[in-house]
Amino acid sequence: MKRVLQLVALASCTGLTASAQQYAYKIPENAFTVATVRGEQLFKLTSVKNVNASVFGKKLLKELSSVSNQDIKSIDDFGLNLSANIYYYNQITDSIDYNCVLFPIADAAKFNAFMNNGSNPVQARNGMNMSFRSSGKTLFAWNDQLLCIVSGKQQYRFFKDSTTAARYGIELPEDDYPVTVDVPYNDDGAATDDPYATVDTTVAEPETAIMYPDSIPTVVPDDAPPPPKIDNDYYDYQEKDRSYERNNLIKDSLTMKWVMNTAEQLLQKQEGTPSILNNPGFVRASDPAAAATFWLTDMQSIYSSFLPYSMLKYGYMMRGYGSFNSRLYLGNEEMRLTSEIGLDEKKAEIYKRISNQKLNKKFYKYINSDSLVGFMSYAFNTEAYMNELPGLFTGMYGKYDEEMSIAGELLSIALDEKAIAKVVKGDGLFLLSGVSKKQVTYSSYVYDSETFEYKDTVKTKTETLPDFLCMFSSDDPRIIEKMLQYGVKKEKMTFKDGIYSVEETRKMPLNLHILFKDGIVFLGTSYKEIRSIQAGTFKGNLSKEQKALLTKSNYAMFFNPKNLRGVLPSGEPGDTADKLRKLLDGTGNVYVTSTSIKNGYVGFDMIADVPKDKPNALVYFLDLIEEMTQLN
Amino acid sequence: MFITKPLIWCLCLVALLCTSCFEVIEDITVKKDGSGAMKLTVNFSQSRTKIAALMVMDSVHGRKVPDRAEIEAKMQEAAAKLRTMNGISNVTQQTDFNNYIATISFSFRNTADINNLTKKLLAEYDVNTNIAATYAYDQGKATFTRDYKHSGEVKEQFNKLKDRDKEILKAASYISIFRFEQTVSSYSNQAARLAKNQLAVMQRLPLYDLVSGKADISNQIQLSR
Repeated sequence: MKRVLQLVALASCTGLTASAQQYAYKIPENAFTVATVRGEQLFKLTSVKNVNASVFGKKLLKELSSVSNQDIKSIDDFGLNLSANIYYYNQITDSIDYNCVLFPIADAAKFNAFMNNGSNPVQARNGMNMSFRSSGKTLFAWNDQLLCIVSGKQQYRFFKDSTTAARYGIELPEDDYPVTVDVPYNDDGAATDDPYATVDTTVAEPETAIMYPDSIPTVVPDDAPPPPKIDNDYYDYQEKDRSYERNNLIKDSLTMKWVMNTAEQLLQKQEGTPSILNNPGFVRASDPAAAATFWLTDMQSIYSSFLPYSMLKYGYMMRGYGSFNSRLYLGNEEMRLTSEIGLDEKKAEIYKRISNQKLNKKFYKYINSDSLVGFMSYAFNTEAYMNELPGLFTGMYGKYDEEMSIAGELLSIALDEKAIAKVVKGDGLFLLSGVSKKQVTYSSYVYDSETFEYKDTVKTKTETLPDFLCMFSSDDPRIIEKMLQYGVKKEKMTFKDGIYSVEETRKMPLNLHILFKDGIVFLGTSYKEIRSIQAGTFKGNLSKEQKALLTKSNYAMFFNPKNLRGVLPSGEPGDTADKLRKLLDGTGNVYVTSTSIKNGYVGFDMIADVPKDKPNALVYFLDLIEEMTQLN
Repeated sequence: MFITKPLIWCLCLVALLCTSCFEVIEDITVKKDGSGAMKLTVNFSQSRTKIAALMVMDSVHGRKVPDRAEIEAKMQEAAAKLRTMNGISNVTQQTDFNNYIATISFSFRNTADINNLTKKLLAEYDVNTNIAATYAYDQGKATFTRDYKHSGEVKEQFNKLKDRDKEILKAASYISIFRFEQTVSSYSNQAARLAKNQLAVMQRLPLYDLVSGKADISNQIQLSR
């Protein structure tokens, strides 16, 4: 019996794994980014009816109705499988970039009817249906199981290469190449400049219209013959114009051909063939419990791909960083976004040393959780960071690696890491404690009723300004004090009873007060608060949850919208302020914390609490969008 | 890094907490022969804290926030353009960045010169609209007229404004003063007021009413001969 149960469990688990990835095997191994939306997770939390009725849903239906020229009343009207995984991926080649969406179909008849009723013509080819959008660069291709939306964008540089240009019959402006590839023709044999006509011809009989390669070209062979050159010095403006149009026509036809090939390959691709599922980074990111995931290939590839080839020798800024991923979890009590980036062993070691620092526990007694609007804390080891600087430079600038390494060493010799770490230990806490009312002056005018002549006058009004307090540890603050004393000498600030003060300036509309106490440098806007810290009468009250946030992470952020709503000035006129209050009222706390290194990955967690009156994170999220749109 | 980020966070909050408020003053003196002077003042002093906070940021609601140098350059550019216009002289401009007050003043040879310069300036900044009021002075009849029509375009632009921008206009004032050498016998716009010495007419209204088309600033002023 036990064995039977084990078998049943194994079978169901295998089924789960397979269904979790669904059509991921269609995604090429060298995809650049992949985003997955798990319909199953989303529709556990809401219904099709609720989505249709939401602001987001209404907008989507309106958009879809307008695009398709049909009256669409529900998101399940098209026959798509809403509870399946929807994939988006981006693939970059040297000639063309693809953006593709894979959407499983639940009811092929319904979907076919929807597409056939649309304004774009539908054609059948090799067992698939397809319909080009009017641009000719986006193709909807589908069979009974899957819809693939493929969009192609040519790489500008690809056709700039003279050999490539000659191969496809592209005329480069500097040289006169004969047109070696026929321009697409209409049925009557006349050359066409209508992109629609081009779509039809290429789609119906691409092989007879243009002799294009069967697969996407990635490399032009070394033995390709040089393009023949014609002696012709005359090149008038009109000819240039015509040549530009001819070139575009060829390039657009090529894009269509490649987009079509890609869609066909996608629909025919079988499970078990090389795919993104071979990439451990992607598999790590694909958590079936997440409502949506995003994965980006390793950072060095991104960095290189955005640099021209000739600049590659400089581009190793992201060396040592692996792939990036983000996962969104929607639960009943919280919405969590987990993001992480891979680090190689060397970078991971460096990170470990730099993050070997805890927040000064003395900070805790200056936190008042009850009224706190938000905080941000960080703790990094300054000395370790300074020591690692030469190492961080290495490998970043490619060709200039040695020079950068020497520069890093020189910096290391010039700087006394220990001394710097004594001045700034590397931990800090920023508290947004609330707001306070302040009298401010402004210029206005008084009018003489006799003549209506006006004179400048200074008036006062009450403004509500945020109060903040920040602190950082310093074992040796002498240099900071010296700088402040210099400021006092230059009359940029004042020093009274052990507190340095800077009056508000044009650039900084807040007063600042600085105090040194117990190896901590305090900087705050409230003189009263700074005085109470100095006198030792400050009464803090740190909650358990917030203490845990501060203790566990090298970086933490917290925001309490309800406390902000409580301190918003009541005098704010108008609807916007009311709407803002309503929005803040209905928003839960938000936390961000850094995560320590785990299996070579380091990252951040962002958590938003779901307010008690909302059933789950998705409903909360949709309601939040609705509230936010009211603000605009 | 540590100081900058929290400060910007704070400044965003400042911008959120403060109500913006400003006044626009148009002061025109018309002499007997139709020549005169005009002074335009935009005073953001009441929103000083908010402007200071906004200017630290690069952009607000997706719009770029100009820095001090850019604002000064624009003001100088406007003054330079005025200097090239027919009938316009004594152009001066001043920007007070402590109180956020900008003024531009000039003399005109003829009241009609104001109409020309407004048209040219608006065309220069690609504003094709009939927003500008037209001014006319009839020396023989001793009448000064400001004709203002709230155009459909302005209404359309106003309707496109977001609620938060409309609120800014509600808190802003528009003040118009006309001064003369002769006493004023009568004026058509009852929303305006006459100075005790009878040599000036003033109208004050929320900028919102002007832009939304709720208020009329047209006025026909009969002066004593």
